[in-house]
Amino acid sequence: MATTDIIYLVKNNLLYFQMWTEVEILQESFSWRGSNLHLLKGRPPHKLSNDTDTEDDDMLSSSQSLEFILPINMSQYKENFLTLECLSQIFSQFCSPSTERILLAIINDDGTIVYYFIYKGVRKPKRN
Amino acid sequence: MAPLVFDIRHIQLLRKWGICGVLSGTLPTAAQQNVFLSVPLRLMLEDVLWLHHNNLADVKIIRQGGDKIMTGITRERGAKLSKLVEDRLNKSFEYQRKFKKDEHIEKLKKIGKINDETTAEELEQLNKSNNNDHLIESSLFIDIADTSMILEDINIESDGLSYDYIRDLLFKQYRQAGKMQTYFLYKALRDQGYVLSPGGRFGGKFIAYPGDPLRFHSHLTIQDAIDYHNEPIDLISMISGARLGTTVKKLWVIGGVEEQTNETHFFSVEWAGFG
Repeated sequence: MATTDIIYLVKNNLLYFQMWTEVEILQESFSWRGSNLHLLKGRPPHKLSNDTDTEDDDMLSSSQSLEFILPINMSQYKENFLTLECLSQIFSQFCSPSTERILLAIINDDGTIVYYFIYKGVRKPKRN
Repeated sequence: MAPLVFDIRHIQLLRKWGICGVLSGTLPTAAQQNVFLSVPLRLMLEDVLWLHHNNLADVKIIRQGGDKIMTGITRERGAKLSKLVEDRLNKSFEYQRKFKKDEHIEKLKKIGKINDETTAEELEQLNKSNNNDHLIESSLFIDIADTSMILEDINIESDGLSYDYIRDLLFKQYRQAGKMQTYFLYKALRDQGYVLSPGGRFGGKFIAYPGDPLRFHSHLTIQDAIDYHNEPIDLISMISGARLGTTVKKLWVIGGVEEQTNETHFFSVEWAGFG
């Protein structure tokens, strides 16, 4: 699937299937190894299971924080694409220094999308 | 090459330093469950590299086969050792018998069966009537040494190997087995206070505990290092690894070393909880 297609696929999936809000495509793009990467940002409809509890206490039930989403094709990994360097670059160029995670949207060739959080550095799992 | 530690005191010390290893000792004809395994302790190659690099351990290299090593132990020496063990055991039995008899007398006094005027004969009579000696005999413990006595008799032809030689040999061995960069990940995590164990059970190279494994659950499964600049993350293994990690409350961690700066970079991945 072409890179522009997957951006809209993920955008629609987040908006109309996962019920996210304020989902938009970031203006600036990021050229990496011959392909142009676009990021999305959006707001989840409720607290995600990975969010820390303290965060919840601070903001009460007002609104969830914005997430950055990187859509990528499952097949892209064969083309020497998502390296550690690439992730570092995305964190430093797109996100504010306080951003600790990006949401990776992995698109399968059957159209299904799976979502994974990538955190910079080692991080403790959530207590429960 | 399996790095082994034979001495219990050394194992205690290693544990304090955050190196736990895996106990592997058992009898070949009566293999045991994991919890009953004994010395030697088997370490990861990374542990040995780290210990040697920090000058914390003496590494000896055994090249000969088992038979050749055992030639240092003669028949006479064997007989001597078995005599020593027997004497030690008898002494322990004697001590236990005395301790139990004294304890028994105290107990009888307490319940009023005997008092200070009871004679030795009366006591003997009493013991005989309730079969006490036999009961004591059947309750004696056999102490089994936790450290080998023949170890010091073994002649290992490794004298005269220099520190540098051993270090080079270890690193060469390590490079053959895997990526050198994985060691740098190991080192970086150790420097952050993590205790690392082999991670095969959770589909990784290591699992990392925030402290002693008996006190904490592990937090991370760390993958083999990948090349920072040129090796793409395998998405299939990331998806399956991170899903497994989420169900066992561990983050799936991938890392690599940046070439110019020698800086280690880690990324932790977990399932987002939807999709």
